Amino acid sequence: MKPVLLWSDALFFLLIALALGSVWWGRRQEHLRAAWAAVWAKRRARIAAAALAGFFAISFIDSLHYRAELPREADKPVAYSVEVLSALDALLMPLKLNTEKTYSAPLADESFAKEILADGSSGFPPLKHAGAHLFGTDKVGQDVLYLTLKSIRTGLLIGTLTTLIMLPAAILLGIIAGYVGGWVDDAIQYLYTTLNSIPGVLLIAASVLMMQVVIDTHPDWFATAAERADARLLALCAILGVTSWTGLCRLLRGETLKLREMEYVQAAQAFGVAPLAIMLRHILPNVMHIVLIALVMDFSGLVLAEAVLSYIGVGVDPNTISFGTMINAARLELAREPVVWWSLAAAFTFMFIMVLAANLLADAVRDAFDPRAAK
Amino acid sequence: MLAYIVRRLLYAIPILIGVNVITFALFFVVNSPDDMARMQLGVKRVMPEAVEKWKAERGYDQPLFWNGAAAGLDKATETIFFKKSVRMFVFDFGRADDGRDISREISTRMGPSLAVAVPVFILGLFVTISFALLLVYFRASYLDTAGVVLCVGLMSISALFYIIGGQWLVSKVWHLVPISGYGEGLTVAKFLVLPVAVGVIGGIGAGTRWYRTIFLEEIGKDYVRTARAKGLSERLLLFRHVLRNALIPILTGVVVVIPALFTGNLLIESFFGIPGLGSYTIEAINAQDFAIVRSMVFIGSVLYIIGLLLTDISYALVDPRIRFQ
Amino acid sequence: MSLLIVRDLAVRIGAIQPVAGVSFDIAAGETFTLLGESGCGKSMTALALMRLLPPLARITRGEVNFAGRDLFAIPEAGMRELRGGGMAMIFQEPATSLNPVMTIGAQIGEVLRLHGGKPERVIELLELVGIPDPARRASEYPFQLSGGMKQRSMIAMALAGDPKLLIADEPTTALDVTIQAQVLDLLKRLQRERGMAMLLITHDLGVVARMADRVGVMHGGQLVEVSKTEPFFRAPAHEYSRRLFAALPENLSGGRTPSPPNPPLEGEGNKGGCPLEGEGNKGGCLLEGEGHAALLAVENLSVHFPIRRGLLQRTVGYVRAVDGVSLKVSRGATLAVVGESGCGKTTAGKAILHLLKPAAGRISFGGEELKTIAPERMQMVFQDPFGSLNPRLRIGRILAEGMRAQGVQGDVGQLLEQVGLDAAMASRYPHEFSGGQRQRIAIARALAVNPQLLICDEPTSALDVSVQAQILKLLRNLQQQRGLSYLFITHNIAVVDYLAHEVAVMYLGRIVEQGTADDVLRNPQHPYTQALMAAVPRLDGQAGTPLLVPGDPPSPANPPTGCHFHPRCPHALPACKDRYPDATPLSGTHSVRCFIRFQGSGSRVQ
Repeated sequence: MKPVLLWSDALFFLLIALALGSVWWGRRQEHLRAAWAAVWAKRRARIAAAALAGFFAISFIDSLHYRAELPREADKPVAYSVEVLSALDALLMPLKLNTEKTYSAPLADESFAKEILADGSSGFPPLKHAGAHLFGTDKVGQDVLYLTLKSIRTGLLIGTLTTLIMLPAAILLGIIAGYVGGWVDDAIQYLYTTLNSIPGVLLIAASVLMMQVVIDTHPDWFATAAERADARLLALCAILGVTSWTGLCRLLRGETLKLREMEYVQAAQAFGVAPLAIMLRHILPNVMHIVLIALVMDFSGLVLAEAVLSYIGVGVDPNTISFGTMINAARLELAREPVVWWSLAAAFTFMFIMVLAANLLADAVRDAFDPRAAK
Repeated sequence: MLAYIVRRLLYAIPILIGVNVITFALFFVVNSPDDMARMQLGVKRVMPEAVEKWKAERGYDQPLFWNGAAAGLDKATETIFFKKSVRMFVFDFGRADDGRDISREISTRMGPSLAVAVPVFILGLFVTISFALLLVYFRASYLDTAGVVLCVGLMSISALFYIIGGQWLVSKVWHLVPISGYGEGLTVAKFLVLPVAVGVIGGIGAGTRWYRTIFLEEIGKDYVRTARAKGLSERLLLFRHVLRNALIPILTGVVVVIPALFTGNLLIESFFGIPGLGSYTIEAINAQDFAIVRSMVFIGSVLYIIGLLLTDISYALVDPRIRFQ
Repeated sequence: MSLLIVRDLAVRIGAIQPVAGVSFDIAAGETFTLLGESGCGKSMTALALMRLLPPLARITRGEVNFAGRDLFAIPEAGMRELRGGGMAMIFQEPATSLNPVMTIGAQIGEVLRLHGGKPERVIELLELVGIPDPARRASEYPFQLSGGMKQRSMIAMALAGDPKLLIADEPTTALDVTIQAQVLDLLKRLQRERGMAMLLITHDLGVVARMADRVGVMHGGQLVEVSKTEPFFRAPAHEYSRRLFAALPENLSGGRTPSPPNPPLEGEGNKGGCPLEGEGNKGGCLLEGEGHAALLAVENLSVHFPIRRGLLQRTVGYVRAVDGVSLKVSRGATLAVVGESGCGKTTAGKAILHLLKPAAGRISFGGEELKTIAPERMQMVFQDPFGSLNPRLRIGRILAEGMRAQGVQGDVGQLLEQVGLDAAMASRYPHEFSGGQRQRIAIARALAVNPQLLICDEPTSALDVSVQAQILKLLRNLQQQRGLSYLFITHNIAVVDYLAHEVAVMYLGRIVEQGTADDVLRNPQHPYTQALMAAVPRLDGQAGTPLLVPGDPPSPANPPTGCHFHPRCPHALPACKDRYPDATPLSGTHSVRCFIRFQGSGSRVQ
């Protein structure tokens, strides 16, 4: 077994480390403790957070990647499979391997499609793994539960890494534009107005198409298919980040403009404190609530966007399992007779739970951290 | 006021130039035309002649910025940058990969796009604002709480679900309207009902919540207390005082999208087979027709900038503080 | 029988009870004032009477009888008829209390329609409250009106329903002193003419003295004393009332300001007027004495803000916020800069610190010209105790910031003790402190780098009277202990009297009168200074006929020609329109920029 660290794994671990670090740091900050206490006081928020924690745990297990050792032939060096698996695959190995020939309904014990049976009559053949597929199987016989669980990591990564990638730029430029002002402000405003005026979906579509060309013309960059799919996932995050940082940047600029006039900032100026120190000590801590709110509010939108983009064909790599690719593959199934509903139902339900949990938590966080939302 | 509008117009020029440069960089600098040709023709083992032919057919066989081989002014104009980017400013988009004129295609496809987008916009606005006013009227009651929870639920459902579910239920189970398609004259109505309904329902959750927040913020202000102290009824208070003031923040979000209605709704058009600009874009993306995608990016940006301008003007109409500046 | 009878009224918000059993009566035609400091429950009482409490507040017990009707038994629909009709209310903040997108006329007309008045009365009402050109004003929007005009419109709106009771919640607190006097006079006149009862809510003893028939003192949600006005001012009965009187700056122990250790006004060479007077320096500097080089000398300071207009946003003019101001602060002394909002006093203070870039002028400190901020010499104490401390930093870090930036060694605990706080408070966050405590922290922060001069920008205007007194005392003690100099920016004449050695009066960017505190306060020579003094509500209740200046201060973007004050000046001469008067020395210490000479207070000589 040979561990594989994909770029997205590294970033995801970094994100978790950052989150744990801020929890550790935040516990000592009284105002943060109070605000989080207000969040946890709501039962809705606690349930939502628990659900999200579950999704995070699944994603974490699904981010521990490795390549399995191939059966060793005598006097040859150890060889590894080209297929990159994760700890989740290992846990779900029975589900992954128990494929059928084609569709089967949830917990069914015979196939969905009629066949000529061994005795020559026409009928529904028994399944190889009768009753073992909680959510049924899809067109090529893959277990839908397995697909759904694998989709979680993709959705979660897009929801979090996108913001993580764009955050430094948005914070830096927003605060500098607001605090420094003058031509720097003009330049940064011009930059985000220009980016903002290109319709998001089209910019994403164009960028993804272009990125596709780059990836296709450089097959030598990637050792495995997983790495290539991973590169595309990260590129998608980056592109989504480019199209979504403008909103946060503008918010931060506006808030900084207000804070710049606060008397404590002027007091610091009267002491001759350097601008950088003022931005770090007096502005940044006082805009972090906006960053946090943006982080949790954007999450659900990004998860939903992934499905739409994957449907349009500018989302994740078609080989990456995600809610979008699942829906895209199953979109005609409702038109079949009898209806094949379970793939869509599973994908939509899990996506709904994830987005709803995120929305509920985001509401509680916004109520607790946004001074304007205080009622 | 006039100077203000003219100034906003002038400000749009550098932004359009910026958009143009970004799109150009995206399409021609990140990848060379050779890369694109190879990809379109199939990545493996493409004859160099085939690449050259592909480029020549589409006008990509010129230098990017500077044509040293040409004479006089042509040095600057016989280039990809001039032909493909600068010409966009006069809405000359050239031809698509299938040889059709993009400008003509766009003008014929605008109609169907508007036929879906305009009703979705107007009905959606009406439904969400009414729903938000209702919640605000019953604020801090169980109805309000239930309404907000419902909105969060609706917001958490993917747009794809509304479309796929709607088609299945209304067309397949109830057989009320055709699943997809588009017609001429009055027959078009039966094709439009479902896409419009899906578009409106899909926007209720987020819209209602947003308007509700705006109304609640206004209701907390001092002038509302004054109006109450005058003896105004809650209904008059909402309609005469709160609604008019709330229009100011509402306009920011609403007016800016009006011009963008021309480009249609990508998902709805593509699912319901409506021959508008949205489905045109999706087809272009699937066919990897860069000329169309580039044109749509440019048009989208122009419409957005017009939207910003309209927002500024509508502000001045609603807010006396700007009108009398 | 009384018009309004309140019995045992109590209001609760969550766990707090802002009004805890209040009883009082108001007879028809009577003015009853509720006096109290912030948070005492006086506004909640008023809102409870209108049944306009904020969403979370509940009336928990009590009875209110208005004109023979049980107020709490009336259904909400009936209440609407009463609001605006039976009783009307004016709020503190005219800037936010009017609907910004409706014309004044429409907002008043709304009341007329609701309560059966004729719509034509809009103009009549505006005229009644003293708004000039009422027909034009009726079609204007609130933002086009000055603060005083907005409050007059609010009053017109309240009168539109012919109420029997007018509730005025701090109606003049947000207004300038001269405007405050106008509005109070207007309210008094209207109340007398219409035989209306008035419930006036205020924190200002001066307003009570001027307006009230009877006064109720509120403290901690309860009425601790109810009395007729005259005996109340003669001998307040309750301990808390007495404390309120004792906290007034004019009653603070120690009385007048002791002279600074090194009196700046003795010496020679100050007889022939100001030696600096000359080209472009007509600021009227006074305090130049040989051997008494001032600690801070500001010459001809100007701060201009560009006005941009048109297509290319070209600068078409300047707001001359500070326009050629010269002043001096002596070692160990206090100079008070007095003026109303928008006169440029705060801007001048920030420009002296170089927090703003001056357009012109010379600032020297200890004889040495300053070109940038000099943190170790001058520090600032800001107005808003809630905005001046970073909420995310502990007190210890806030205090240490300046020391670290300046490389000064110092002990945070000692600093806190010096301003009367506990050294252990260093580990706490600002939100745990009250306004007064925060202002002490702000003072400690400024003192941390051992400056010689503090610029205090209205440091007590956001505080309650009793807290204000403590801060003023602290400032005076610190001055005596450390030999500090203060440049004290304020609009409050009483505070000036307590703290200042010298006074400069500012109007629209320029200093109009300057001198020792005695010169300016006891013998004001500029008509504006006289108006300021007269506008201060006096406690003896016998202010005589206050000298009222009409109108509002003009915008500094577009000041009147000649003397900026002439449109409001009761004594204006034709010459005032053409030329701004030069500074004229009246004595070695006193100078004024006015063509007219007065003898005594207000009697005209020339």
